Amino acid sequence: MKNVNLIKELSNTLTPVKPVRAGLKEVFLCLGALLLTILLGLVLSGVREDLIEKFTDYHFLTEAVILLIMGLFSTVAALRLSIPGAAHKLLLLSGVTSMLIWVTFVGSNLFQATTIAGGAGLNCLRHISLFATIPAAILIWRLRKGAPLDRYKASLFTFLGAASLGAFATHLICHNNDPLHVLQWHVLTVLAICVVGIFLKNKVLQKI
Amino acid sequence: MAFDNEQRFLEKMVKAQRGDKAVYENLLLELSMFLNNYLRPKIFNSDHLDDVIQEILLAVHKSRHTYDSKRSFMSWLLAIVHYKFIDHVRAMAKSDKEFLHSDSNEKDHDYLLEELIKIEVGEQLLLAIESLDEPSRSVIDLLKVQGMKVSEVSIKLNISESNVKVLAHRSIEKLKKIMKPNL
Repeated sequence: MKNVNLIKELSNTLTPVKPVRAGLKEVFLCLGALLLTILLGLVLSGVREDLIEKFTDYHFLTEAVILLIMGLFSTVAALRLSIPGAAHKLLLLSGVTSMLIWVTFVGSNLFQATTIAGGAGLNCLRHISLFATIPAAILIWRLRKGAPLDRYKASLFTFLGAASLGAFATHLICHNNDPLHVLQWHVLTVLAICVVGIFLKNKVLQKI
Repeated sequence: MAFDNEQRFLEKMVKAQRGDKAVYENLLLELSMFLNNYLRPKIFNSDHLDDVIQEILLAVHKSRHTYDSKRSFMSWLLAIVHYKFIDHVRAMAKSDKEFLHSDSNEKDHDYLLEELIKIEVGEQLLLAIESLDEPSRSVIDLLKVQGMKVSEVSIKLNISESNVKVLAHRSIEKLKKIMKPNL
């Protein structure tokens, strides 16, 4: 059998390894680190002055919760994808579903709005990208320690998770709650980051 | 059948993670036999079957650090098997498409002429490969002539995969320069 030589070579080059896990403890540690970077970023950049008042606004609060849930689900999905056989389909579905809920929520706000102003949003694009950078770096580092078989999905959820957390932080900074502005500069930025992530999959993750 | 092996594979994998070479060799041999039985009904060509098993064994080796003894070994292994099998099916579909496409509009005369040119160029190419230094010559021979994968060449020549790619790239550039006057 051809495989015998390969087996001999593989066993001769065997070195002890420390198992990499993606259990509850590891996932919570990673999520904690990501949320801490977001919190530090918010402390450094400063949140909007009327944030406390905005927490009584149903639309503002719902969007913040959706973004946070989307970020957490996608991040957990990315972490679990780094271990063969550990990512449950429901988890992957939750990440995508929360994204769809966000887009639908913003879309429905747009239809219900009586006045639409839009407004410039390059600052929001910059904020989301900057806030997403460190979480993305942490997640990529964590994924590279594992063995993601499906690099497409792993990269997609890594960047979706990081961009969602970035959008969550930007949501607490941005003064413009106009639905068209949110759609143009928040939703599209998150989608663009996901597309970039998919294109970068071969660069950031190694083939197993 | 798969679940009969679960405990045995699990124990051996844990020992392998600690660096026990003998147990690891035994585990890979058992996995090879298990995969042979598991994949035979799905892959009829024995060469292809061997290739897929090798790919899976390499993936098991590369991702052995991700196995957690608290989780099922078979679900970990079968995730790798499933992914590599899909990879194989995709590669087969792609090569079949290319083959059908390249043959579709060829006239016999042109085809024979092309084949003769290919043989002549092929001989010149072999001479050009011979003129390369080691380990570039071995890299090109294993990678492009024998059709081995980068990971296999890396293990065979005991150099990193990135080095194999760099050497292959440089050698191809050299070969292009050597072959240019002949084309």
